[in-house]
Amino acid sequence: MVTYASAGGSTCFKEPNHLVGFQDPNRFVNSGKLVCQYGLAWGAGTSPRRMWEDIAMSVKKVFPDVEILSTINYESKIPSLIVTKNLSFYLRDIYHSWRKACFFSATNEADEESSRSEKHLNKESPNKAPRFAQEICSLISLQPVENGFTHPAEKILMEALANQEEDVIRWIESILEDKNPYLVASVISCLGRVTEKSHPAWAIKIVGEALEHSNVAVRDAAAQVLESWETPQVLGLLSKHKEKVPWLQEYIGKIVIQLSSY
Amino acid sequence: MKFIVRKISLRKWDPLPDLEDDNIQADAITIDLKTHGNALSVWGCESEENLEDVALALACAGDCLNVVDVTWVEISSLPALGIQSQKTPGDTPVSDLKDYHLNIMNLDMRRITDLAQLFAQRIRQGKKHRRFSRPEVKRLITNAVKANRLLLDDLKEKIRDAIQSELHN
Repeated sequence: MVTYASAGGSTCFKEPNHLVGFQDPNRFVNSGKLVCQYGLAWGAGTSPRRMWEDIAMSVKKVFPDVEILSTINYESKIPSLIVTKNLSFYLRDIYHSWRKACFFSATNEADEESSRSEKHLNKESPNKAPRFAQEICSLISLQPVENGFTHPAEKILMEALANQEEDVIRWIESILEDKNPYLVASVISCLGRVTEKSHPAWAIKIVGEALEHSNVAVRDAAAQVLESWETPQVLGLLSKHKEKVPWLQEYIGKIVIQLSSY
Repeated sequence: MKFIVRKISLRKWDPLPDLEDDNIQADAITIDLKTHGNALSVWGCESEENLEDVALALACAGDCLNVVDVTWVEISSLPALGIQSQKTPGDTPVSDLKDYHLNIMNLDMRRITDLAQLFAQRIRQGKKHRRFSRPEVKRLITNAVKANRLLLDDLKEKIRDAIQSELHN
């Protein structure tokens, strides 16, 4: 259970084992700095240094061009982080991302502790989503995938594809069944962008299935991906699709004409 | 200028199923009509023939090539809603388009809702929206580069690469 509280100008993020405080980023928009503090509250079975490094790494992963200057006071067990970025409007994203990073880190620590006590060191829960999937979903929930702009989830997806392609394929296949069409459409768009040059057969199959989704947003995302791949290989999928929504029908007709000319 | 044009995502402007027919998705307002300092960024144009210029300005401001969806309403319909607009320089590398940018100012909840309803009506009438496909967007940017309206170096990396290969073809 995650709860949030606000006290003394700082917001607190309360976990079973941790209390994380950070100053409201809105107060630092003009200075271009976000100062975060992490304090160990109940501390059972955790290492502040390790958790701190996890947080810093997570922030860096999502925002590779941020500068992270950390000053850690191990004696008082209150490490603090200063994140700087020339563009101050990124602060809110950094703040949310960092908060998520705290959550994931805390979850992992808690899982490890639980695993140790149950002597199941190498056993993973079959229902638990892979780490990359959690990160992608959380990034999509923080920032919409917009046409014309690269989304931070694309980088995570690309890395996951390079390291654990089979897990990614399984996860994306399963996401088509998700009840949130906004998430499905966003993942399909990211998939299309990271496979723009390669468009492997498994991706064509998944996007083809997305084109037949009951939700128009998912079908639109799929149609845009098929257009962006610029390959006549997908003509069959588009030609056999029966679209009811007029504007999407018109768009798909346009793509078919374009691709037929290649 | 006769029209104000806003970049949108068409899929967000379909009514949600299972609700009344004229409903507007919350995402249409909170994402497609996202304001900064209670102001909404829009582009102006004299006629629907100039929509290509708006699409060009919008596409060049991004960092990757995708479709560009736009909707537009007559600027003359704004005063009746108590909505004011103000010319501000546009964020686009196409220098001859910078002066076609406006901010719709002092938007509160009622005014942004009224504006959303106006856009929704126009989009759903099927007359005031247009999707520029990815190849169309690429063509617009390529032609602008050829006409020296913008420099390749002013484009973000992914777009620049796509246009460069288009120029070599």
